[in-house]
Amino acid sequence: MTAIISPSSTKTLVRVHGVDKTLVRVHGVDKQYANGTIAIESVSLEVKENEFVSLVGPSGCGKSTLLRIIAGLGDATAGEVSVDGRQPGDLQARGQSSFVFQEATLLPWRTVRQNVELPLELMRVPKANWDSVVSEALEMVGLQDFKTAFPRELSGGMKMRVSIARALVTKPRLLLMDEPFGALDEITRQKLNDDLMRVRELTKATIIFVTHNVFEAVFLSSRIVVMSVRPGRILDEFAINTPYPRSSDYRGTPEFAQGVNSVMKLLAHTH
Amino acid sequence: MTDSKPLTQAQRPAQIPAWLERIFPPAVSFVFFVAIWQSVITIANLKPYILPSPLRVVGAFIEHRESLLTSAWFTFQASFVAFLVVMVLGTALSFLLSSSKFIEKALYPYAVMLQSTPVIAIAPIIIIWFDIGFASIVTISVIIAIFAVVANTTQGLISVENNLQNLFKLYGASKPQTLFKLRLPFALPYMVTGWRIAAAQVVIGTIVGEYMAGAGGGGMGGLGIIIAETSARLQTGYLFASALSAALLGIAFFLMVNFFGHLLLKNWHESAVQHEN
Repeated sequence: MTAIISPSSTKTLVRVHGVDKTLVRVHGVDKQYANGTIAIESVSLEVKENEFVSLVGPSGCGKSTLLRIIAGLGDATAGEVSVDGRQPGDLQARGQSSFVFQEATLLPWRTVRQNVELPLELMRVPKANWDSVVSEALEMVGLQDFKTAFPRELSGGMKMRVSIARALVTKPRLLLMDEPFGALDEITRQKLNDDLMRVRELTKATIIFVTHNVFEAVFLSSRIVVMSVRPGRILDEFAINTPYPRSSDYRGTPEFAQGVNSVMKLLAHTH
Repeated sequence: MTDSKPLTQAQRPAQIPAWLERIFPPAVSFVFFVAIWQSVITIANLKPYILPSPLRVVGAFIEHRESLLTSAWFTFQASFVAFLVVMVLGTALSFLLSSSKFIEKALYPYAVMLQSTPVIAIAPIIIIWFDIGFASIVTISVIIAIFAVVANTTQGLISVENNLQNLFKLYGASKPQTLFKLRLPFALPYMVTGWRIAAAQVVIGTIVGEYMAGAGGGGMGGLGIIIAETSARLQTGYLFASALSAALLGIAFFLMVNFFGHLLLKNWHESAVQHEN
C-alpha cells in the first residue's frame, strides 16, 4: 500500500480509515477484437476497497472482457486501467489480485492440496510458509478433509471451492470472479454464495463479480453495475445498502425482493 | 429380482477366478480357430507349402526354437533402440512444432509427407547411407513409427486449456515452470497414446527393416530375415512360426509400454482410472 497522506487533502481521513480508497480505476476503456467486433465501449468504473461489485448483463455484453482487462489478461484498445495504482498484470503485484474462472481450471494430476499450493509454487514463496496459508484457505471453503483427493473425485461445487481456495492462498486484496457459479445447480450456487459472504468477512477482500444471475448479484453485492449488449456499455448502477454480513435469511426479506425487482427492470432495457 | 432373500455363501454361484474369466473367451475362440484351420487342410487336402497344419507350425517352432529365439532377441533389441529414438526424437520434434504456429505450419506438411511415402521407396537410400544392418533397420523402423508420437504429442502440447495458461500467466510463471508444471503433464495422456501406437509400429517397422536391410544368414538378422528366407524357400511351417513369433513380440512390446503408461497416468486420468458404477 502506498497511500500518500497529504494534510491538505479532504480525503485524508477516509484514507486513514482505509474504507473509501479506490482500488480499481477503469477510465474510458474500449476493447475491439481483431475481427472488428467492439466488445466494450467507453467504460469507466471505480471500485473502492472492500466493495463487492457485480457486473450484470446479458451474455455478449463484454462483462467478462472487462474483468479480464482488469486482471491483465487482455489489453484495452483505448483508455486506462489501474489496480492499486499499478498497471493490471504487473508482476510486482502478482498474488495481490486473484482470478476465479468460470470453470474450476484445476490441474487433474494434482491433489486438492497441491492445486491450492500452485500459486505459491509459481511465485516461488519459500515452502516453509505454505502450510499455514494453505490450511487456512482450505478451511475457509470447508475442504480441510479433502486435501489428498484428486479433482476427478470431487463434485462440481467442490471443485469450485478448490478453485476459490487457490485464489485465496496468496491473500489477495482483489478477487476477480468470472461467473464462477454459472455451471452449478441452484442449491449448490446458493450454498457457495453463502460461503463467499463468509470468505469476504474473513478476508476483507474487494470483489468484482461477473454474473447474469440477478438473485445472486443482489444477494452478494454492495453495488450492481448493469451493462448493455454489444457494444458493452455501462447502463446504470444500483447500490444495495443492506449491511454485511448477509446470511441466507436475507433472501427472504422484502428488501431482497425489491432489489431483484429494480435490477430486473434495469436489465429489461439492455437490449 | 423378485427374490428378496439375500443369497448365502452356499447359494451363490461358484466363484470363478478373475484371471480365468479373462482367459476363457479368447481360449474358446482359439480352439475353434485351430479346429477350423485343421479341418480346412484335411477337407481340401491342401499341400503343406500352401497352408501348413497347426501341428506342423508347432513342430517348426520346436525344431527352430534356437534360431527363432536369437532372431526374436535381435528384433527386440532393434525395436527397443528404435522405440527410444522415436520417443526422444519424436518428443523433441513435437516441442519444436508446438513452439510456434509458423514452425508448425512450415514443418507439419513434410512430417505428413514422410509418413505417406512408402518405406520401400526410402529404404534403398537408407541402405546406401547406412549400409545393410542394424543402423538401417533402426532407421526404417523409426521412420515408420515416429509419426504416431509426433502427431499425438504435438496435439497434446497445443491443446492445453487456455484458462490454465492464463492462470500460470497471472502468477508470473516462468517458461520452465509452464513447461514442466503445465504443458508436459497436460500432454502426457496424448503422449502415452502416441507411445502405445508407436510400440506396435516399431516392431512392424523393425521386421520390415530387417526384411529389406537385414544381414542374412544363420538367423542372426532378426525375424524379418527369417521371414524373407523361409518364404523364398517355401518353408511355410517355419514362416508361420516366425510370423507368430513376430506377433507375440509385438504384443509383448505393446503391453510393456501400456503398463508403463498406465503407471504414469494412474490416479488422475480417465483412461487409467477404475470406475465403480
